[in-house]
Amino acid sequence: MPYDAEISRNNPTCFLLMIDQSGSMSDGFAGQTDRSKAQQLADIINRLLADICLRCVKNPSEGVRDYFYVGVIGYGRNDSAYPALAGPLAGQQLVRVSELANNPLRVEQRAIQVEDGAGGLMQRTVRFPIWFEPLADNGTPMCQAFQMAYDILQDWTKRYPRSFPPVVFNITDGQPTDGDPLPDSQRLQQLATSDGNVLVFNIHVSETAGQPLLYPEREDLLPDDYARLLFRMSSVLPPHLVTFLREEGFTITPQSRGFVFNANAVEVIRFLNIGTRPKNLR
Amino acid sequence: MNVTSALSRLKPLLRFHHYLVNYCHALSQYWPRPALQLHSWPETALFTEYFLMRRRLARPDTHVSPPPEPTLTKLPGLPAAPSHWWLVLCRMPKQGNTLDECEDAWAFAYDQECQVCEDYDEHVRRRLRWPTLHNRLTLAISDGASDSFAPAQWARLLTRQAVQDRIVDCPRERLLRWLRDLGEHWRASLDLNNLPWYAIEKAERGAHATLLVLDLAPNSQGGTATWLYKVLAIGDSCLFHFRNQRLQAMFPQIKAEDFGASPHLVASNHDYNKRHLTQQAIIRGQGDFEPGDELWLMTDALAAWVSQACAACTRMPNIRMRDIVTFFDQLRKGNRMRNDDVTLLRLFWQQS
Repeated sequence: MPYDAEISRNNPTCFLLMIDQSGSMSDGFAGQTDRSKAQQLADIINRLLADICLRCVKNPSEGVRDYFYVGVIGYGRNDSAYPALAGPLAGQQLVRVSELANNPLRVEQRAIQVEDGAGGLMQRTVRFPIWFEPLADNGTPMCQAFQMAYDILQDWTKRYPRSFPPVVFNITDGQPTDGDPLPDSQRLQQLATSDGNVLVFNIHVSETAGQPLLYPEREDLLPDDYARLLFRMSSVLPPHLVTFLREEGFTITPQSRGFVFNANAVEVIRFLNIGTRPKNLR
Repeated sequence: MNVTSALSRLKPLLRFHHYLVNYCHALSQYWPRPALQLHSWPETALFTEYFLMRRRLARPDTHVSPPPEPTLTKLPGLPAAPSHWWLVLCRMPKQGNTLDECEDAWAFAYDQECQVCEDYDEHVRRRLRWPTLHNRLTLAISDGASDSFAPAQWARLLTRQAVQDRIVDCPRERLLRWLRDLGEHWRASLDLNNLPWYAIEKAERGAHATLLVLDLAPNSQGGTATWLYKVLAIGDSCLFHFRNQRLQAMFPQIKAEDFGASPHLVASNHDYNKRHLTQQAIIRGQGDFEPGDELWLMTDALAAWVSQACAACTRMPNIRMRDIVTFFDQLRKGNRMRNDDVTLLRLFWQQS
């Protein structure tokens, strides 16, 4: 059965994030003008990376277990695609999760609101590591980003041929400016381990207010050609993600794709969290 | 005689000496309590050898007297306790992990002195027998959630304290207070000085685990020799009650296909517990325990298999206890059981 492999230190899996850093990311999410999509997305990505690290921490003495490889590709600056981790890991395409945890650019202290257990909210200060800085510049060279992802994961799948296959998230707010990304996306999905093909999920974020379309199963449900293109570029959700999303209350069928259109920040966070949740972590 | 054959002849003697030293130590520690030693026996000292050795030690030419058999205390109005109680304990890590990476825990306490027994050092399995029980037996198992912080320590603390404090009848509010104190104790036991950001943040999020507690006491109603068990379950660690080789009851009732979903968990974080441990999340049950019955407490991977086996055939599944390691390996290799830590406590008694 595909997408069933146990994730262990000997058989890790891989998360690759492709982040649109084009000029249009300087606009805010729908209904939010105080912060740009780039800034908000940087917070979301940094939080996700921190959560991925924390999943691999078991006890005080052991450090971080290398269950995952993680990479972040940005695309936009100089109309190119590039490794987007900052700080000590700058320039690295893919790193072990222990390297990630031990090498943030900086660790900030941030106040968050948590429930106080008596029906109210209270502030708590958390350590918030930063690996990824916001940027909004130039066009949307998505094809180049998919080609870079292919090169990275081709090596990785050869190295870990029995692992749970890599999961790629492409987060974008606009149409590609360097051609049709569908062939590159399909080529990427052809890469595989013995447990299944590489999973490519697309998240479209928008500054215009509109109903998000979440995990569609048919492209005729989508409003325009661009949405249908992203639908075709997205993998069908594997069974464990179908289960996780159903637990969250979504109506998901076995044909549902890993694709959200017109997503607000909450839906982006939710999909990234669920999509990186391991089924079978040893 | 070469060196190898000399060593092979000496081996049983050395082994016996090892047992004798351990046994004397155990006697000095527990005398005159009921003879139940858990802490000093190596993995190979299974039940048969253990009781054979007790006989050897009882010979007049040895200088160690065996501990007295506990006498049957027949309390007014209570049924006579059965003659032979058996408890088989098994705890195995995920395939590929070592035993000290196992995040399951078990503990039990018996009789009035509340002797809490637990062992995490070397044992994959253990088999115990009481000639009698006086008035109580409490068993607990817990499955630490892998993605939480120090889950094994939390699971051990939970089980140890649960059997000591007899929490089965606790109403929710008292249970939450008990957990709050336990969570504070767990937090205080962590030394987080000079640790990196991820250790501190993870510790703030706390530890999570399932909890299954079984309390057994004589049933004085009706004058028959039965015992009453009560169970409290949070999460997907399960109790199976078999009678006449057939499934009599299961707590909590989970279908085989529903294992693996996000179970309810007991957290070291009080706020989490207040939000998530609703009355519905705390499963309670009870039943009569009669001669010939078996009670199986187990963590989720094995429970899923047993649940499926019971659905397919109403008879009690055959778990080959004598070769449990191979048995579990075969289940895992055949994809019939998920590769996860496994804990099994199997309690049964025979009336003479």
